[in-house]
Amino acid sequence: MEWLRFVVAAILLFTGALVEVLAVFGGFKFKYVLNRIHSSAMGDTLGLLLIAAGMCVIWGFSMTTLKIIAMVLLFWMTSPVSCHLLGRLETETNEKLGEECEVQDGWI
Amino acid sequence: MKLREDIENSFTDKVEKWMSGDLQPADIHDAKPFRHYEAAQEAEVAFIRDVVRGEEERQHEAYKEWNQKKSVKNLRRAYGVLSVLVCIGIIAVLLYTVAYLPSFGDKTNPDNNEVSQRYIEKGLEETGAVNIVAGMILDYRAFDTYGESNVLFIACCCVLILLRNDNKKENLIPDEQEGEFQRNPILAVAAKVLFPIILMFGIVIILNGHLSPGGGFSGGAIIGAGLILYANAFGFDKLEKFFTAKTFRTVVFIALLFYGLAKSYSFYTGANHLKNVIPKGTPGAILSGGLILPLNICVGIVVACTMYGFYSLFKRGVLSDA
Repeated sequence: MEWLRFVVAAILLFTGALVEVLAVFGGFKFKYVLNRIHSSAMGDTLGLLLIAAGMCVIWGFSMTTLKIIAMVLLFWMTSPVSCHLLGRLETETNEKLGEECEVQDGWI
Repeated sequence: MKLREDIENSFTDKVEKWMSGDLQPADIHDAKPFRHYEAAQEAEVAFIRDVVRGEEERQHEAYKEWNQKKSVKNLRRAYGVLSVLVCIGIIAVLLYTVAYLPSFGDKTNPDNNEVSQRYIEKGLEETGAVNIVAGMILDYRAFDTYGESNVLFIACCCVLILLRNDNKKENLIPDEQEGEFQRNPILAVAAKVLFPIILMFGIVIILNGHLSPGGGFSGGAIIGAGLILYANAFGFDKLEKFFTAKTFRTVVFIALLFYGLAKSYSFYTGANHLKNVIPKGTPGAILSGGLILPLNICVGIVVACTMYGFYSLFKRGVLSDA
C-alpha cells in the first residue's frame, strides 16, 4: 500500500511541478500582458492544487492536510480575483489592446 | 523744451490732470500706460524662447551626431563589458568573503554569548512566554519595541502632514472617479468572504503572540491588509462607518499610552529585583506571560491603524473623516 501512495504522490507532485514550469515559461515566452496572465494564472490554480494534493497524499489525513486544503481554498479565492483585477486594469489602460489580441466590439 | 506729440492722453498727461482735479483715478487705468512695455516684454520672451528652442535643437542634433561617432560606440561597448566585469568581480569578492564566515550553528560563533544563553535558558522562567522571541522583544527589550511602535505612529503623522488634503469635502476624490475596479462585483464577493477570515487570522496571530510564532507586528500587518482590501472592495464610505480619523487617533493614542505606562511600571517594579505584581501565569495558557499579551495587542493595534492610515492617505489624502 505504501508504494501505491508513493507513486500517486510522485505523479501528482511531478505534474504540479510541470504545470508550474509551464506557467513560468509562458510568462517569459508570451509578449503581451493578457497572454502572460493567462499562462501564469495556471500555476496559481492547477499547479498549486496538484502539488497540494500530492502533499496531502504523502501526509495522509491529519491536521496538516486540513491546513493544506484551507491554503488551497484561500489561494483559489484570492489568486483568480487579483488576476481578474490585473486583466481589467490592462484592458482599461492599454490603448493598443485591439492590436494585441482579438477584442469583442464595445470592450475597448 | 520740446513737447512730445503724444502727450495728449498719455500717462503723464493724465497724472497731471488728476492732480489738478480734472480726472478721476479710475480713468488712469484705462490708459494702460504699460501697454508698450508689456508688448516689448512679450516680444522679448518670444525671442528668448525661439533662441532657446533653436539652441536645444542644435544641441540635440549635435548629440545625435556625437552618438554616431565610432569612438563613442566603442566607449559604449567598453562600458557594457566593464560593467559586467565589475559585477562579476564584486560577486567573486563577496563569495570569497562568505567562505570565511563562521559556519551556521557552530557553538564557537560570536553570537553564542551569555546574552542568548540567558534568553534561551531562563526566558521561559522569567517572562512566562513559550515563544522566546515574544519574551525577548516584549519583555527584555520592551522599550525597544515601544520605540518601534512610536516610530510607526510618527511616520504616519509625517505622511499625514505631507499628503493631507484640506478638510473640505470638495477636495476629496469622489469614489466614482477612483477607477472602475472600485465597484468591481467580483472583488466585492471575494472581499465579503475573505475579510472576516483575514481579520480573524490577524486576531489569532496577535492573541497567540506569546505562544507561537507571530505577534503584534505580523498580526497587525494582516489586519491592516484586511482593512485595505475592504476599502478597495466597498469604498471608503463603508469603512468610515466603523473606522474614522477619530477612531484612529483615540485607539492609537490609548494603545501607545497603555504600552508606555504598563512597561514603565513593569520595569520599575520587576526589573530591579523587586517583586512584580503582574502574575506570569502557567506557561502555554492563553492568559500567561504577564504583560506580553496586552502589549502584543497594543502593538497590533498601532501597526494595523498605521498600515490602513498610510493607504488612505496615499489614496485620497485624508484619513476617513468623521
